[in-house]
Amino acid sequence: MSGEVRGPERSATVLFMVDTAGRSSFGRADDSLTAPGVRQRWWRRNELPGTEPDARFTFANERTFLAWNRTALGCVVAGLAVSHVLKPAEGSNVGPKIAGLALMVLGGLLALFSHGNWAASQLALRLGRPLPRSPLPMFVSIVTAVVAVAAALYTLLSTG
Amino acid sequence: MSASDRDVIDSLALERNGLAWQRTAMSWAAAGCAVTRYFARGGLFTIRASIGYLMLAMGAMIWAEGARRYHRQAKVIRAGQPITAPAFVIRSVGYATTLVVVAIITIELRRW
Repeated sequence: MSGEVRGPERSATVLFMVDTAGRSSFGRADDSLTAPGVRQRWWRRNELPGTEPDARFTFANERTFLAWNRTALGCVVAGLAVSHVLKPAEGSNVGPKIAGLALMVLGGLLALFSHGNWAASQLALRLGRPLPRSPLPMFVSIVTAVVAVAAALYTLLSTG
Repeated sequence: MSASDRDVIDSLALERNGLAWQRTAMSWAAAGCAVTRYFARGGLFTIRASIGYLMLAMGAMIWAEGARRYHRQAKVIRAGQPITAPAFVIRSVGYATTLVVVAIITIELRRW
């Protein structure tokens, strides 16, 4: 269940949905709960339902989004650096390019999902529910580990 | 907890948020410099180089928005009003980041 609204005044459209157990899933919430005849301005159309949580929680959620945004940018720049700077002395440089591309794709996915993560957390805060579990940390850890191992193997094999 | 304690806690949280916005702006600016350096090898006025300029502009906008929000929300805290989440700004930053990353990946793939 997602975007549950007890009052008729708000609509919700979020990328992540939160169920009663606090689990999240990717999707689109029901925004049919806007009061009939009430047109929201387009920049306010995605306002979340519920009541404003404690300011500290709102700030903390915002900081977390910004941290993910910086991580996404870091991944993209690291990907560019890996694919351009790590050039072997001889032979093909497909390895660094693939590793760089993986990091850049990771950055793109982080940028996309971090917004959904923020919306899901804010929705849970506003509805007084437990925060949804975010898959992003595990995702980042796995991709980073795979790229690191691949880069190490590539370095060893290309120099040996 | 008294109202003044509450103000102090919220103000400190707001300050951390202001710093987080500034760090994000600096990250955008640094990433924009790096991307411009990589992509502007064929000339400064190319479509590829414009991605870097766009990122630099994003850094400037994020810095301005962070500063604006900091001062505006400080007034809201002093007035004892509830803090609202910046849904539109966060959505814009999230989508802009995704678009920029997709553009960079597309340019990289075309260079292969």
